[in-house]
Amino acid sequence: MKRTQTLLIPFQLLTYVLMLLALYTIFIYAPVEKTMGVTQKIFYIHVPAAFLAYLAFFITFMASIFYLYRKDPKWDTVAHCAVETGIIFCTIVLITGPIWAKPIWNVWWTWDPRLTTTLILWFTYVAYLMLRRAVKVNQRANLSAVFGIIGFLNVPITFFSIRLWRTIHPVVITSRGLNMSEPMKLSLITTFIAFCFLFIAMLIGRIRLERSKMHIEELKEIMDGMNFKN
Amino acid sequence: MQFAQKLGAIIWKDFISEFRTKEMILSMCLFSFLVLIIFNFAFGLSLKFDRGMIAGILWVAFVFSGLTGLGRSFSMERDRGTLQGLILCPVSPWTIFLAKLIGVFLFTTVMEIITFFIFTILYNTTVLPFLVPLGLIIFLGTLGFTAVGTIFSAISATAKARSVLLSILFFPISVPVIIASVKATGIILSGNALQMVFPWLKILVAFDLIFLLVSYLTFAYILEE
Amino acid sequence: MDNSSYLFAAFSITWSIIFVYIFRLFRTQTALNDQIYKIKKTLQNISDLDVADS
Repeated sequence: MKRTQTLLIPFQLLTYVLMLLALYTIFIYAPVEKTMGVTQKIFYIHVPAAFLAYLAFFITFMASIFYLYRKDPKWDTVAHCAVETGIIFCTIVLITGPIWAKPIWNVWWTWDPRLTTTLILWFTYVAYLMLRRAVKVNQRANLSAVFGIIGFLNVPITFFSIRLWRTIHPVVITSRGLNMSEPMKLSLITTFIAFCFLFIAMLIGRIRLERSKMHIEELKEIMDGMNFKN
Repeated sequence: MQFAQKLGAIIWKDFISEFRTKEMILSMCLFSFLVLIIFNFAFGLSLKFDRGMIAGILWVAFVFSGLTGLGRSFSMERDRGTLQGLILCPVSPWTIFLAKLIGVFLFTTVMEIITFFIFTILYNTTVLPFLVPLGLIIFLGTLGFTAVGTIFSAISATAKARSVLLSILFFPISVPVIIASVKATGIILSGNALQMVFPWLKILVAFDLIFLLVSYLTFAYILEE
Repeated sequence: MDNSSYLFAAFSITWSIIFVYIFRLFRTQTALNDQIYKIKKTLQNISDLDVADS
């Protein structure tokens, strides 16, 4: 605990510096896009946030599997904290998406497969947190883990079914085919790395919080034990 | 044959207890009937011509009504205190899951047949030439959402706000099934070429298989105390 | 709303969400740390008393 704690502060400082660097590349280094104008810059937040939201839920998926396999409560903590962090980034995606869409296509919401799947993902993980609140503590980890697995496996199927249903996402973000100039690509990569650091910092912070709560529970048990003796 | 016997025993038990009161089936059918009627008022007369939308209404009636039945399957056990007894039986968790699933599936299918009949009358739909493909889609779709519902019914059985939790867990996960079923039904009812149904059929089959596989692997953990 | 207002809205909402979350984490963590310190102190006192008694 001590060693990771001493590493934490420099890590957080580094995150802060990288974020400033990212903001510089977004607003000063990257050129303004011809057709979309200044609002195109929202994309520099939207894309990394989307990637991280899905990464967070992948972490929950893996942690849930490890939990069911090993029954170690640490994995349950990781799954839970990843869901929270993921919901934050997912919310950011769902808010920046419409704000970006409105000036460009003049509609707030397009039932575009990527964004709609992200909306379903958001609901799935809010449901995860509701589940954790509603069930009894002794079953909570087991049930959350099962739902974490089911929820994530549902994502690709949902995506394909919605895509079959309709399609209008801009071409610039299609897999590897980035129709962007060099400075734009560099800005995206910088912002992406900065957000990754932010994500890790937030996740670790949340896990630390959860560990502190568990620590307090343990200490309280010891105290009860000692009071009982006296 | 041990497996089939145990399976049959649990299904028979559920069937008998339902047969005594017929409460679940009656309320499910009544509810779906109401849904069909309310949607007619909600959308007005233009419905009669848009097959896609009508397919949606049919499936909303199926799913919402099915959900009331699903909520019952495990919470009934919990209320009567028979859940512990079921877990203590020398049956594998997968047998319990499958038995519950088949029970709910059969009840839901009965409800769907009745609902479908009323639907063809209320919405003036010709269905006779399409019965076989429709039957297949409805079978796969129902299997999909009842499987989802059974697992989440088991998960929320011991929770505080049981039925609300079931709905919250159920809907995001059943999105693919609902989309695929509605679209496929719409295509069939409009009399379009059956080839157009294939991609949706693939999604339904994939969903059902994946879901049953995941249930098989994880159901034991749900029943653990 | 002209174009740069949208840009401003997007960025400010994003950072607000992130800051509020981090701030809440920080506040809860500090409160928990205080609680841990107090409990450890109490345990320390109890075990000192035990040592004194025996």
